[in-house]
Amino acid sequence: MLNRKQLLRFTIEAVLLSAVSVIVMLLGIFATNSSEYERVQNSYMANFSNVLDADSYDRIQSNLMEGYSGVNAVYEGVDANGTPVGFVVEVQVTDHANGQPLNLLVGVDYNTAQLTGLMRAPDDLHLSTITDEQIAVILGQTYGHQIPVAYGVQNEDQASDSTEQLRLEGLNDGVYYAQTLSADRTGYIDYVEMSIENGVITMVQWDAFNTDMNIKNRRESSLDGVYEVSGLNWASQSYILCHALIDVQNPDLLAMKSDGTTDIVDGVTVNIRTFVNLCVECIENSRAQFDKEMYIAGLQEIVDGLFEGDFESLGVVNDDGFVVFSFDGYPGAFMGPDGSQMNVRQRITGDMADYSDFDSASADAGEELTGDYRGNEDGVRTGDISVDADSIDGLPMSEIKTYIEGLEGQLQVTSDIVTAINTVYRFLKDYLNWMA
Amino acid sequence: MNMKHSAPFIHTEMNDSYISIVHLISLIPVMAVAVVYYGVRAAILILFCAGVFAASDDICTRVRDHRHDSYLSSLFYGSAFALLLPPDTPLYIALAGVLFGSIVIRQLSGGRGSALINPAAAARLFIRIVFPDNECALSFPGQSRTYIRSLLIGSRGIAGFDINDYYPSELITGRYPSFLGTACAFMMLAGLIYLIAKKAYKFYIPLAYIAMTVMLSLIADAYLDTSNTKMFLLTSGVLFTSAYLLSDDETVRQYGVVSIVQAFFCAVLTVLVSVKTSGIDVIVVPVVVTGVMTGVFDYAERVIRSTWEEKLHVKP
Amino acid sequence: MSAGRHNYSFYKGFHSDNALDFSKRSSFDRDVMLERVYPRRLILPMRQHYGDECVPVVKPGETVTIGQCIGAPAPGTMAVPVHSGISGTVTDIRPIVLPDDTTCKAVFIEGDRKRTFHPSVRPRNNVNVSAATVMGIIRDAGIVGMGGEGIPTIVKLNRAKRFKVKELLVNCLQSEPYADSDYLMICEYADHVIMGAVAMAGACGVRIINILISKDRKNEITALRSAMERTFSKYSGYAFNLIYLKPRFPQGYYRMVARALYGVNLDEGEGLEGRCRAVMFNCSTVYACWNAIAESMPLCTRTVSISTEDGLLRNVIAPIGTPVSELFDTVNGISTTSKTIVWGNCFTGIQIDNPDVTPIIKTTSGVCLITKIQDATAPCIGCGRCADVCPVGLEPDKLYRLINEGHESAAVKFNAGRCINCSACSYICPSNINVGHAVGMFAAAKRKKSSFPYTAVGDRQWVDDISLLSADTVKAAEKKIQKSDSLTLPFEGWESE
Repeated sequence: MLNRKQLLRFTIEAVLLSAVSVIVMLLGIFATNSSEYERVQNSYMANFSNVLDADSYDRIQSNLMEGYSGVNAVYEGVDANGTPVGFVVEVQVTDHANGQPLNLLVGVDYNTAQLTGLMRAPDDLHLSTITDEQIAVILGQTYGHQIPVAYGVQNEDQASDSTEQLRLEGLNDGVYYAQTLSADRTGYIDYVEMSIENGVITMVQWDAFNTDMNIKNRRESSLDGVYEVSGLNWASQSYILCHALIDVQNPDLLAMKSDGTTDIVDGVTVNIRTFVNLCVECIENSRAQFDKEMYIAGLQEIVDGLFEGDFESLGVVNDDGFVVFSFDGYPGAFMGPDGSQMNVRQRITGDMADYSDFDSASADAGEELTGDYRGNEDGVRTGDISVDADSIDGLPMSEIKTYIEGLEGQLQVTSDIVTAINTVYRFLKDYLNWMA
Repeated sequence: MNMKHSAPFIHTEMNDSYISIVHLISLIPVMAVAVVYYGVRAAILILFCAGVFAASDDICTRVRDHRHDSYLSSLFYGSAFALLLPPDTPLYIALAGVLFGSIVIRQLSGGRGSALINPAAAARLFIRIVFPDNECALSFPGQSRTYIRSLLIGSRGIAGFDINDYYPSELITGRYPSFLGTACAFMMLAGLIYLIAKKAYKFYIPLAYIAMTVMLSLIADAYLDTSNTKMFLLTSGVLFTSAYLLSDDETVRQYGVVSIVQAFFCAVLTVLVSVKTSGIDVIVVPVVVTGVMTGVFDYAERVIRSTWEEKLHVKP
Repeated sequence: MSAGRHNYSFYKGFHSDNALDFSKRSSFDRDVMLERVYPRRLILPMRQHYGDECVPVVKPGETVTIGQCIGAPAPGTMAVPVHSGISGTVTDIRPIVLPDDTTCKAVFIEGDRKRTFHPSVRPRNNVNVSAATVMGIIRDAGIVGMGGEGIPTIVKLNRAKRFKVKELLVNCLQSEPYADSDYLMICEYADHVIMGAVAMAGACGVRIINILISKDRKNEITALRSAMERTFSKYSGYAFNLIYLKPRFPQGYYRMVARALYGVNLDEGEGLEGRCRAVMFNCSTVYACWNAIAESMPLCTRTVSISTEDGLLRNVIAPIGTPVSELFDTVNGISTTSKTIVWGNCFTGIQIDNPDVTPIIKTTSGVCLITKIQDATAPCIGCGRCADVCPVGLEPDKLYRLINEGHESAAVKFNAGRCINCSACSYICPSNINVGHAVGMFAAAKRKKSSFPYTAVGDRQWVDDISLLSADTVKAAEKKIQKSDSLTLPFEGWESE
C-alpha cells in the first residue's frame, strides 16, 4: 500500500488536477458559448421558422411539462428586441391507426393565441400513418385562428358570418388608440389599443401605465401580484374582456351595467366602464381615421402647448412611447368652445362630428353571445354549429375558439392532429396562467 | 543464519496501488467533463459504477478465499465503464454492466491479473448488445444538470442531432451529445499526458495507436469517402481508447515490440469498425479483440525472436 | 586525451526512482562522511574472493600490526593473501560461515588501539616499477575485484596479458541504489585511480585507458578530468578517455558494459578479455593497486557505504574484517532495532541476523538498514514491466510462472539460465513479487557448470561465473591444496626496486 507521503502527494495532485480541469472546462464553455448559441439558433431557425417567425428562439424548461406527457419541448420565439412573439411546442400524439407516435411542431402567437404553424417535427421517425399532406390540410383550416380547436362541423363560415353580422359599420382599417386624460387614484392612466382589419376589430389591448414611471404597467403589476383585484387577476380579466369585444365587435354588446360591471363576460368582475369608453373612443377614431400616431402626436402637442416648452425635455414619454401625463390640473386643456369636454381627436382636429353609431347589424346588447365567456358547458348552439361532445381533449366546448371541418372521411386523423393543438393550448394556458 | 528475505530490499514506489491511483487520477479530467456537463446524474453514475465494481470484486475475492486484492484497480474499471455510458443511462443497466465486467470477465477468469479482456470495455459491449436502446440515452451537455430521473427511468434521448453542425471549438471542448467521458478530446489528452508523465504508461503505445489511426483514417477518407479525420478523432472516442483502455496493464502488454504491434492492430480494427458503424463500437470492439489477441501476439513474438536467433546466432 | 564520449548504454535496466542522490552534497558532508573507522576487533575470513581459502599464518595470542599478512595462499591454489587492518592480538582462529554461505576459517583479532603499522608499509621511493613488479605487488597485496566480483586482480591481469587486450576499463559505474562509496573515493583520490590505472595498464601491456562513469556524476567527472590532465603529461604514451554512460542499473556489470561499449553479447564462460580485448577493473580495485604500489599498503581497508532508507548515508574507510555492528556504532543516531540489516547493497546484498559476528570483506561495498520489507501484495498481473527492465532480455513473469508450475524444461528453453540475479525485475514488479529470486535461484541451479575463466595456477575450480549475487555461487569443488613446506609470505622484508 502507499505511505503517508505518497498519499498526500496523490491527494494534492488529484485536487490540483480536478481544479484545473474544472477551470479549463468552464473556460471552454465560456469560450464556446457564442458558437453554441449560433449553432443552436441556426438549428432552431431551420426547424421552426416555418412554424413561427421569430428572430431567435429560447428553449423553456418548466416543471409543468412533466404534467403534459405529450409536450416534449417548448421554445419561446422572440423578436430582435427580445419581445416574445410566440411559442413553438414540440408535442407528441399517438396515431390511433397504428399506435405509433407522431411528433408535431405547433406554433402559437404570443398575443393573439392564434396558430402560426403546424408541421411534423424534424426528429419525427415517420412511424405514424399520418401524412404531411393531411397535416397541411389541418394547418390550412387552423392557420391564423385561435386555439383551442374543435372539428367535425361547418362552423368557420358561420363564425365569420357571426362576426360579419356583428361588426360595426364605417370602421377604417388601422391601429387606433385612446387613453384616459386623467390618472385614477392609484396614478394609472388606462389606454386601449385596437387594430381593425377589413372593417373588423381583430385586436384589442387594454392596459394602464402609471404616472410614476418607476411602477410597471397594470398588466405586469397584476401578474407580479402587486396589483390585486377580486376574482381573476387583472391581466386575465383584461384579456378576456378584450377578446370578448373582438367576438362581439361592439362595446355595447358587452352589456355594461350601470355600476360598470358586466354579467355576460365570464370571469370579468372589474369595472369595465373605462374600457368601454376607451373602446368607443377608438371606434370613433377609426371612423374619423384618427389613428394611434395622430392621437399620440396630438397629446404631445397639447402637452407642449400647456407648457410652451420643449416637449422632449418634459419627460412625459415612457419607454413604450406613451404620453404619461394626467390632465387633472388642466381642465381647460380639453374644453370646447361651448364649454363641453372634448376628446383628443376633437381637440386636435376640431372635428365634432358624431361617430358613435354602435348599432350592430343584427345583435342587440344583452343577447346571448357566442364564445366561451358564457361559461355554459352544456353545449354551444350558434347558428348551425352543433357538436356531439361535452368536451374535446379535456377542454370544455365553451373554451373552444375555432371550429374546423377537418379531413373529409378521416375523423380519427383529424382528432389526432387536433389533439396536438389542444395539448399545446392546455399547456400554454397553465404556463402563461391565462386563457386564450 | 536465518534468512528471512532475499534481495532486493527496496522496491520502486510504483507498486500496484501507486499505478492504480495514477490511473484513477488520470480519469479526473474526463470525470470533470462529465460532471460539468451532465451534473448530478453523471456524478452518481460514476460513483455507483466504481463502488459496485469494487464491492463486487471484493465479495468475489472473499468468496474465492483469495488474498485480498487491491480495490483500486476495481475503482478504475468501474469508473472507466461509467465514462463510456450515455449520460441518461438508468442505474439498473449500469448495474448489469458492472456485474458482468466484474464477475464474468474478471473474477471468473481468475481475478486480478487474469482477465483476458478489459473488463470495462467488455462490460460496455455487453450493455451495447443487451440494451441497444440505451445507446440513444444522450443529452445535450450543459442542460438539466440537476435532473436525476433518468437514473431511474432512462430517457428518450435526442436522436437526430447532426454532429456536422457543430463548430470545431465545440467538438474540442466536448460540447456535443456523447458518452460521459469520451467527448472532450482536450481532457482525454490531459489524462494521457498525466499517465505518461507519471511513467505509468509508455508514450510509444498511444503514439503508435493514434498515428496509425490517423493514417488509416486519412486513407479511408480518400478512398471510401468516410467522415473526415479531424471529426473522427475528436468525436469517436479513440483518444479515450488510447489513454485509458490501452494503458491497462492487465490485458495489454505494456513493453517492447508486442505493445506496438498491439497498438497498431487496435488502430486497424478501430478504423475498420468506424467504416461500418459508429458510437461505442468504435471504442470497445477493437479493445476487446486486441485483448483476446494478446496471447497470440506474445507467442508470435517469441517464435519469431527464437527463429531469428537460431538463424543468425544472435542473442539478446 | 579525449574530451569524453557519450554512449547510449543498453536500453534495458532502469534508474531507480528512490535512489539517494548525493551528487549535490556539500564538501562538509563529504568530509564528515569520509571518516575512518577504528574498530575494536576484526574478523578476517581466509576466503574473501573467488578461489581457494588462505592458510592462517598467525596463531592465537600473537601480536599483529597494520598491513601484516594474516593469511597466505597455499602454493598451487588460487588465492590471495589476507592482511590485518588493525594492530592487536589474535584471539581466535575458527571456522565461520559468511552470509553468502562461504565457510572458511577466520582470524579474530582484538585491537590494541595503537595503530601500529607493519614495517613493510611505507611509501615507495620510486613508483616507476616494472610490469612484473606491479603484478607481484598486486598479487601480494591481496587485491581482488572490489566491485563485488571478488576475482583476484592478479588473475585478471594475467588473463588480460594472455588475451593481449587493447584497452583497460576503469569501472566507475556504481549504479546500485544507496551505494556511494566508489564515487566518494573517486572525488577524494582521483589521482590514485588514474595512477593505478596507468600502472595496471602498463602491467598488462595496454595503452588505452577508458574510464567509464555515469554522465550525471559531475563532481567525480571533474575530479577525474583534473587528475587525467595532471597525469597525461607524465605518461603521454597512454590514451585516457572518459566514457559517459547513462545511470542505469546494472550498468556496471561486465556483460552490460560489453553490450554498451562493444555491442557484444557475451556467452556463458566468455569474458571481456577474450571477446572484446578489454579488461575491466573496479575503481576501488584500481585505487587499492596504486595504494599498494605507492604506499606499499596491502588491501586491508576499503570504503564502505552505510545507508538507511531514511536517507542517511555515511561513507567510511573501514578495515576489512570490521564487524557490521561496529560500522553502525560509528554513526550517531542510527538504530538497528526492528530493522533489516543487509550485508551488501540493497539489490545484491544478503540479510544478516548477527551483525556482531559478520564482518565486511574485500568485496563488501556497503551495508544497509531497511525499515520495511514489502511482501507481495497482489498476484502477477502480467504487466511486463519485469521484461522491460531485464538487462539480459528475459521475460521473468513467464519464467516465474513456468518455474512455479514445475515446467522446468520450458523455463530452460526460454533462457532462464541467462539470469544474472540483478533483482531488477523484483524491484520493478508492481505486485512486489520476488520474481528475480525465484528465477535466479533456478538459473543458478540449472546453469551449465563451465570452467571458471579466471585461472591463475593450480586446479580449476568451477564457480558460477556470471551471477552478481554471491549467494548463488555454486560451491567450489573440493580444494586440492598441495601441501608444501613453503608458503609464500609477501610483504615480508620486501625492498623497493
